[in-house]
Amino acid sequence: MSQETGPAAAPESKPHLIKVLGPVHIWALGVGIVLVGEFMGWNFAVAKGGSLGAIIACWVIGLLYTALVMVNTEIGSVIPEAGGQYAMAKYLLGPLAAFNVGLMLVFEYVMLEAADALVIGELLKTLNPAIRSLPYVILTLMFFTYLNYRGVFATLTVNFIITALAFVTIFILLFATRFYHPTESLVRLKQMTNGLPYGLIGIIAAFQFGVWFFLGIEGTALAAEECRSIGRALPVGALVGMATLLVGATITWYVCSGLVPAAHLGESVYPLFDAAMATHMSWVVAALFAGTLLSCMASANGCITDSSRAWFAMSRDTLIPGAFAAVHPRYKTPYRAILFLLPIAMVFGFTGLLDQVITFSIFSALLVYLLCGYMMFKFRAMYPLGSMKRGYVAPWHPFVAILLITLVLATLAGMYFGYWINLLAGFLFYFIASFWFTFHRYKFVDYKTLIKAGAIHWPRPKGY
Amino acid sequence: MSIWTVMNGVAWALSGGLFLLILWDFIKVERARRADSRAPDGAGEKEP
Repeated sequence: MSQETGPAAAPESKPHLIKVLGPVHIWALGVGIVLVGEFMGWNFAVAKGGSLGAIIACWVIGLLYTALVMVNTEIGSVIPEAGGQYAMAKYLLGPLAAFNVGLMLVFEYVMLEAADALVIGELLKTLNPAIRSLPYVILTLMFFTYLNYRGVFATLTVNFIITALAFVTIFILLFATRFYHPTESLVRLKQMTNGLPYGLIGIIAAFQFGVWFFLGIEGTALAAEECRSIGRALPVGALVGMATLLVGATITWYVCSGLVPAAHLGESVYPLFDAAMATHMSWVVAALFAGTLLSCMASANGCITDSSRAWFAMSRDTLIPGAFAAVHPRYKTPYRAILFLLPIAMVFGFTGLLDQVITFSIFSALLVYLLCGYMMFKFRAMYPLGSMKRGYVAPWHPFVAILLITLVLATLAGMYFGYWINLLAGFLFYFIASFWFTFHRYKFVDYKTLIKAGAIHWPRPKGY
Repeated sequence: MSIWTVMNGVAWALSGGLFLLILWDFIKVERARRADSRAPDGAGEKEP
């Protein structure tokens, strides 16, 4: 079937990434990508659903992501391959779905990376009118591309440090408010919040912005191939990461809602930074400025890691040209995939259309989550419990998968209210991509290469 | 010229420097890869 030669076309010489990552790196990858959403974006949920609607959306979407992490961790713990949800799709859904999932992952992360770099430029511009954002946008993308090019261990160690520092700044703000003191507390929830002004429909409309608190945590599965012990690193890193985000999201809502009036919070560009300004303490303002900047950097860095792994895995499996499947002989990174995606991120960065870029990223992610829920049913049907050794078993199946699918559909419905044209454009884009794959690319796909790793290690699926 | 204008220039210079560093290594690796694939045994570059 294969008509191409190259690294991906020859199963015997299938290139592999180096196994150097532990749970800390997986935590840094997942939380690093997501944490930026606590510093900005989530607060638009306040405009849609009110203060109470925002925290309900936060927790409901937290349930969605907890279900997603459980599903991903169970399936991912038996697939020691780069590509995360893409690798799951190729075994459970077939080449066309795998191609789409891979493409969705690449766009989710490349667009998020572009948005992060844009925000860094805009944030630095606030320091002085003489500062221009473009050189810093380019520098951010160049620096983290270089770091990723040089090695995944250093990349995610740096990500751990900057993510941890950014996370600490949220606690600095929390304790600066003296929230624990009954009379001196700066947090005034009763005066600042506006409850649930639009009722249930407001909560559903707020879902799409509640996604900001957790968007990208599923990226932990994309580095599975580089884990020293996949059965330990992935569950520990992803589940601790999810717990970290739930705590961070609740604290963020609490301090922002208690310090900034709801009407202003719903329109704020940097809600945590504005909350810090409301304390009138210069050192807290400085800490939150640094935290916002660091969270954007960590997110951009993690996005480069994840998008390149998805692109590399698709190329290695012959779903896209094999040229991108090369591994750097010294640094053991997918260097061609990393460099290929750099100009694409830059192009999206140059557009300056932050909201459009982010909406397409969220839309792509939601489609992946929907397919993840379906894959869980297929996985348990094809490989029932006891048929193969799992690093983690998700409890309460099928309720977890049903919850995941239901909440994703509700979020897509909420998104439809404000961004129906983006949704339509997104569907059209993936339809055209599927058309190209089916009628042009499919003839180059080497099916044996595609499922080789699973075919060696996994038992024959039930019913096949 | 303010310090911020100088910083803009520094950011451009650093971006350019990083770009050249990546490009230099990329060309080196690609040349080695091509040379290996032309080797008499035809084995190509060995992947880990």
